[in-house]
Amino acid sequence: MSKTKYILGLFADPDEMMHGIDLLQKNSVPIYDVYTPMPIHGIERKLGIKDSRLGYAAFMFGCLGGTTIFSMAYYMLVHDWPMNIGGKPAFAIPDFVPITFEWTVLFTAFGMTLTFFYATHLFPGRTPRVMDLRATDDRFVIAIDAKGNTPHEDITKILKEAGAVEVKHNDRKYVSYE
Amino acid sequence: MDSNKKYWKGLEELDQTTEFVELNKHEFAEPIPIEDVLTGGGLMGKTPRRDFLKALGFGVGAVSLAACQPVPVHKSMPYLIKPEEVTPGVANFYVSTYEGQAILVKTREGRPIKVEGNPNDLIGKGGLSARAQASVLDLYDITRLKNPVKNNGDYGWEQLDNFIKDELTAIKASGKNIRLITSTITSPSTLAVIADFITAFPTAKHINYDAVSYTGIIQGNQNSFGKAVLPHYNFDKADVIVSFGADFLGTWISPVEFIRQYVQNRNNKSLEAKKMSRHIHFETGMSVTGSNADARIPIKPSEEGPALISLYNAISGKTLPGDASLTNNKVATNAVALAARELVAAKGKALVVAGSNDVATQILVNAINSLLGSYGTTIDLDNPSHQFAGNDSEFTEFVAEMNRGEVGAVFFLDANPVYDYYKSKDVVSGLKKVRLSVSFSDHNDETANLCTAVAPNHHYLESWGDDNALEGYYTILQPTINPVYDTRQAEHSLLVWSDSATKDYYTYVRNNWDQKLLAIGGLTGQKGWETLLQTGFIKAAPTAPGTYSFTYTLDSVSQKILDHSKALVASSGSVEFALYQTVALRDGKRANNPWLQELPDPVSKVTWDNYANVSPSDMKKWGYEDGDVVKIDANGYSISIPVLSQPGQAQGTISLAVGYGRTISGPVGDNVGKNTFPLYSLRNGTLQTAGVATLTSTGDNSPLAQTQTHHSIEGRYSIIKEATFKEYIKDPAVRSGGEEDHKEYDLFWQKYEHPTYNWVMAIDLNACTGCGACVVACSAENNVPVVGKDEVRRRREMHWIRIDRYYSFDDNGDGGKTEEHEIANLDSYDNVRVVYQPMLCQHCDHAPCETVCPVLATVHSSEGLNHMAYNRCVGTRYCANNCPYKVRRFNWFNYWNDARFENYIQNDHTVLVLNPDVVTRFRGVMEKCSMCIQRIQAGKLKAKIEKRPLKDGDVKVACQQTCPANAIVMGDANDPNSEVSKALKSDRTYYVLEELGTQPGVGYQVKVRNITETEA
Amino acid sequence: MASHSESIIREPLITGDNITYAQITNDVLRPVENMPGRAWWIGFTIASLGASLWVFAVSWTFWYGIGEWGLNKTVGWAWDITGFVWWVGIGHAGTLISAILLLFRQNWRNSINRSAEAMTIFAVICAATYVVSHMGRPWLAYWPLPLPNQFGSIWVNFNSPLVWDVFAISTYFSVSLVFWYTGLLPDLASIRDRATGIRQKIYSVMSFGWTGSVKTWQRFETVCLILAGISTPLVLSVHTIVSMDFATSLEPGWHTTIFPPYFVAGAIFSGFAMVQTLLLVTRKVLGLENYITMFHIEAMNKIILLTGSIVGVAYLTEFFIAYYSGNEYERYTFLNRFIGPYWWAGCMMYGCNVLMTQLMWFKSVRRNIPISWVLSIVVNIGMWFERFVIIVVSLHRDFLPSSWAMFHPTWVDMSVFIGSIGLFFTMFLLFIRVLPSIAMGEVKLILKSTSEQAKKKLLAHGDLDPEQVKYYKESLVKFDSVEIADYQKV
Repeated sequence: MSKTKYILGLFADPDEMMHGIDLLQKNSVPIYDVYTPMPIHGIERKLGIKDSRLGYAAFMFGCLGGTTIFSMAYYMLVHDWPMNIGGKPAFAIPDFVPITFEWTVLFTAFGMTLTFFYATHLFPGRTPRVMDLRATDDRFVIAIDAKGNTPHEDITKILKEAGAVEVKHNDRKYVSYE
Repeated sequence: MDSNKKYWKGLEELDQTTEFVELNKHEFAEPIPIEDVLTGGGLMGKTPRRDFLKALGFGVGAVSLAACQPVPVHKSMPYLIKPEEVTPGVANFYVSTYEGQAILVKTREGRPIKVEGNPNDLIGKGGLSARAQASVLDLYDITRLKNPVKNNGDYGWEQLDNFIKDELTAIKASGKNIRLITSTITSPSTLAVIADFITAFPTAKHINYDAVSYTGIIQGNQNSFGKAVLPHYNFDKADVIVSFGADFLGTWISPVEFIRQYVQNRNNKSLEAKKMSRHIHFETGMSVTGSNADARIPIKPSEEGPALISLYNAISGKTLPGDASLTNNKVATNAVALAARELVAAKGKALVVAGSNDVATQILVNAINSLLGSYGTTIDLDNPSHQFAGNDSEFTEFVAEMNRGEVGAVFFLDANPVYDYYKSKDVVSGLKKVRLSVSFSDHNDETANLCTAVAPNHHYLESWGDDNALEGYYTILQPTINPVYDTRQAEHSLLVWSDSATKDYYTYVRNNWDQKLLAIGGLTGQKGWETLLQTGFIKAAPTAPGTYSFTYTLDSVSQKILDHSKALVASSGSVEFALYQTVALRDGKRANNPWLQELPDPVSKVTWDNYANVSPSDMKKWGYEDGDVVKIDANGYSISIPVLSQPGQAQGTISLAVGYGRTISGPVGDNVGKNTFPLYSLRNGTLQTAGVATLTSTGDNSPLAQTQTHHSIEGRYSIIKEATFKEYIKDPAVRSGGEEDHKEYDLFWQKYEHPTYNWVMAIDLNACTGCGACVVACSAENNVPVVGKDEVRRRREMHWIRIDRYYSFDDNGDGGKTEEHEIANLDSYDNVRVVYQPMLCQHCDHAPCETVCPVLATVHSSEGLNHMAYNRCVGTRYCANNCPYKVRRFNWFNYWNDARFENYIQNDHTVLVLNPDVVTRFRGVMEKCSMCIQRIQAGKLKAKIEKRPLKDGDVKVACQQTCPANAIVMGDANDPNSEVSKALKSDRTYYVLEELGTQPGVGYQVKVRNITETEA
Repeated sequence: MASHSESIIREPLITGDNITYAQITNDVLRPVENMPGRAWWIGFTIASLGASLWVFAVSWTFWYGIGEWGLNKTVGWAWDITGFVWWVGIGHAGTLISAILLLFRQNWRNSINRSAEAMTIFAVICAATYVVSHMGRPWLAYWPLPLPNQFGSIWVNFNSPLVWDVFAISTYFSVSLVFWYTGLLPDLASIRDRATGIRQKIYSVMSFGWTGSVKTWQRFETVCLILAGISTPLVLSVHTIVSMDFATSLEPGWHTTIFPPYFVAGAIFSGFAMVQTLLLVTRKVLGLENYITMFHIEAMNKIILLTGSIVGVAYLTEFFIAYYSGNEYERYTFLNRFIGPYWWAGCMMYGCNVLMTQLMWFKSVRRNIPISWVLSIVVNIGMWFERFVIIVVSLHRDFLPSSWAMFHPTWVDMSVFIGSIGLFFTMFLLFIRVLPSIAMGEVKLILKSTSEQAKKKLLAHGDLDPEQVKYYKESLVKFDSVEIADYQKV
């Protein structure tokens, strides 16, 4: 029994990689994940990944921000300490528009981005779970969990066939940064 | 059912003892003296003498501590034993006298911090000049002499007395002359002391010496009517006033009094009575008075004589020789004819005055006045003024005596001839020949510096004394503080040196009053004296006017006049010059007063400098720019001084201010400007202010520190509104109509009520003469910092109220040129019109500054005031940018604690003048007029303690209080009967820039000019 | 989709033969992975000298007080707010490129957005320094924030445009920062995976453990898209609010409803000029001609021309309205820009911004690198004067002639401004040393579709409309980074 944990197909060209994915799926080889140096449009559909719901989060945060500042302004100038500022009414709605808008944007941006970081486990100092160092440079990597019944040679063959420039049989899951 | 149980605190209440009942009447167990001290209350107040002396006692404690060197004044010290009537935080007012004017001195915790006019004062009726307002600062001048001086070294009083006594006896023995040189003394007691001194030393003589003298007038009256007096003028009785270079609203004899009289026939009240006096002014340089005249005709000094002669001829129908020599000035000729017509028409209500110090000229003026029947009406010879008694020839003679070595001892009291006598070299050389020379100056000045000894005099706020400026008007001086330094009153010194029976001057004054003066006021004894100390003055019934017929023959007079003016005609390449006094500095004796130095000249708006006024046409002709330094040679004396383009200056002439260029006066006054006294000349025994000089460019330029550098209103008639008297008669509301009302947008504006008070202000442009008293009063009241010449030049002066001055030019009666480019194309700038506009925070109801402040440091009060919270301000300056009136002032530096500004007002002593009710502002903070909110609060507090509503007039803001013309009225708009509400109801009322919708709280009243027909 | 090659008539966005993905990484990371060259050191020395001048001048102001500047009772704002608005304006191009052009699917933005965004951030920093240093009491600079405080309920004035400013600038800065840094993550990961030792550790921390897995990329793109979506109105709002500092006031020359659009256009105008100034140098020094091509340069010049003309129209409108309003103060203010004592400032403003940019109508000018570079600087000079004229020339002669005054800058005014430029370049130069100045991921994305070599393949493949081929070849002539000779044989 080989100690291979993961099989990586390294492609030099995104189109060939897509082709590789097709072949693998035709041979019903389960694909663990794909690592690319740039976004590949359309791949998520192939791998059946649902659309991101970050948009809804963003909207919620936006509403929160707007409400927060508007009620702050109301509390401070109208409720807590109303006064005569240049003869204008204390509850000068038009004057509150700019700040309301700004905080809507502010909350949206921060809320959504933080949610994104949280959902995708990104935070400063997190040890990168990288399977091949060139995946962030010029290699399009298909990772296959070796613990499938498909013989490893077949997988290698399929990948080569699809145009993989290199196929790796890794004994450990991630590249060590030590 | 209510219980019939009785609760009582202490037996007194139980058995209602009388004193308990008494006590319970008051809010405070111990009576609060506030009633009799706040505002005018001190007069009617019942402060007994003993309490007053206690106050002095306290003053001794607090101030000798505060004033003497090492004690840090910022440490507040609690009372050990609280003087009965001094309530910390409440001001006490004491009556006193400033230059013959009855005043009230405001003291806080024993420190005099402000002087205000005594509402019952005959001269100012509560109005005071800028100089009077500034006088309190001199008290704390850190550069005053702190002890006697001998041979420019410190000395003790005892040794000094011994020394001087010995000297005097020696001199008495030698039979040499002793001379007392004083500027005019109006104090009866002082004169008595001097008389005693003279009896003690028979060779002694008292000589009045005024740097700017009125000998001409006095001599003139002597020759004309046999009365060597300075008459008392009644401008309020004159319908037509013709002045030949007499700056009676600025510097001539008694300006405060004359402003008050003059305005009575021109202010709102008189206009509503369809009455307005007419004022025609002939002069060389633009003076405050000239700028207020209805018709002002620039004439050269050499033309003044001929002009007067032709006026006399026109009125009398006689023909004195020399009438012809005015022909080369068409304008003046017509103007004189016109003036003559109007004067004759107003016979008995006419007045002609001349500023000249030439006897002949004044005789001719007397002749004209007697033809017009002015004596007994507009001119009062029987109740004369004592304000100036200087005698030029006597002093000239004295200088000669000295140089002949006939003088053994000389005493200078409030006289500084080494600086202000035109031949100071002679004085200096003379002094060398004098064995004993003593100065009473409280500063080391040019004269004191050369004297054997200096016996420093008290400041008047430290002195006992009395004054008699006008016949029959006796005022009292009482000290409001113990001497700050180791000084001694001059009278006291004289008493000591003449071994008088009464050693101290207080007793002397008391006796003098008990014996002579009190009776005049119908007062007697201790009681009378106390009354006097509360009312401040007594008034004798005026002597009935006698009749005066002018009999003096005029031919020789007119000849003298003509010779004089011929001598003044400038040959080609030279110019005629005229010397004048500035409103702030006058003769320069108090040049070390920063408030006065920084007060902009009413006309030129220049601070911290004197300069040569040149007419714009001449500037073009000679190719000068403002600030170019020119060398002026005259009388074998030469100075280099910057020029200033001054519209209205007679062409071919220059005017120079005296009173500058002090060399030994103190850090503030030293070397500010140039000394022009040496340009005086002696003619027929009197000092003359006009002469001929040559101008040569030096090539360098020293910029002048002006607070206003653009002088035309650019045709913006919503800022300044003017009308002629004719138009006003037709329609009182002429020109005052604002823009048609624009729609109010309720969405953006909300009506805020002013439930209790609504403080507003009304300013009558017709009453304001631009004298600038309000500016200094405001600085004193609100602790406005002095920033010095450099900062003013950077346009950073801090005054909360300023007086904007605009010129418009009217060559052909077309209403006047007011726009830069039009004016640039004019070739004659002679026919200039001037308007003054006091400008301060307008306390707009829709204040642009409030909306933009990010931190709410400035918001609106429920009493209609625009508040400024200094300690909330972060200094973005947005409010100032957004203020259409540009009345906000920014603390660019820490003016109150920055070594670079030490020379002005922030040393350990001068800070004692600060008003404790107003905080000083820190660097980086915006400030502005607060409508004297501290006074408003004090007024409300007083009313509250007296359990009564605030009355109109309880609160007077500083500028309003001091204004001799009553041009400023502040009060509550909610009270329909308040003075201000009435004033604002006037048809003439308009609001500056009202079309902007800022809804200002300050209303102005249209300037009206009494222009009958196009003069000249 | 990436693999589809676009029509031949589109000009290439990446030139040069055999540009591979690896090649891109190498080219872009060259400055990051190697020691800086002489050019950089010289630039950095000068810039940091400027920065230290700034530190000195600002400390001087704080120590002695704002009076060390040339301001006075009439002119309360001058070089300070001029500088502030100028810097904020410059900042706008970055966001515009990264956000608006993304929404419009302008692929050419991919190779310039990174440095443009960096520029935004540094420019806004410079602007922010003015906000603090122009205060009379800068140590209280936090008071305009709505904080609960020990003074009781003292709140801020939400009616004040300055408070709006505080909100706008802070939001703008932080959002741009987030946008920029999120975009940086993949590239930081690339550096990390090529680096070793301590550099690897640092970049590993900075890259948040980015792997480039499918899901991450998918969400990443969503985030970028939404950020772009909200940054677009944000960037417009920021200069709108800045313009309200003036528009909501009473001052003639400030009180103008046209200001918001006019200021925004001006901001983009000056911003693109600044991008141009920087990139024309950067691409040479860092040898990035293949990624920042003549196409980019010309595109930016066109935008400068467009916005410049919009600004021109705004100027004309102002003048017309001033005349048409019949308001004497308004009229005088605008007349005063030409006949007043500051006529020269007016000439600089109108000359540099309107007249000079009209040259961009000519292809030859748009495509001439030296001229475009000079023009880009001229534009920023002009825009500085625009703000100077609006602020100082309006203030120095407003309603009451009695208060009219002149403004004379002191050495402190000048040092603070020059220093802020130094500060800006110091930060920018450091940026191109330690971070990829081009977004590699986004460039790789378009490599296959729009690069020159892709086009070559098409040509080699043949069966194209000869018309189009001809057109394409002609369009290449302007490129300074293309060997025209190669095309003769095809």
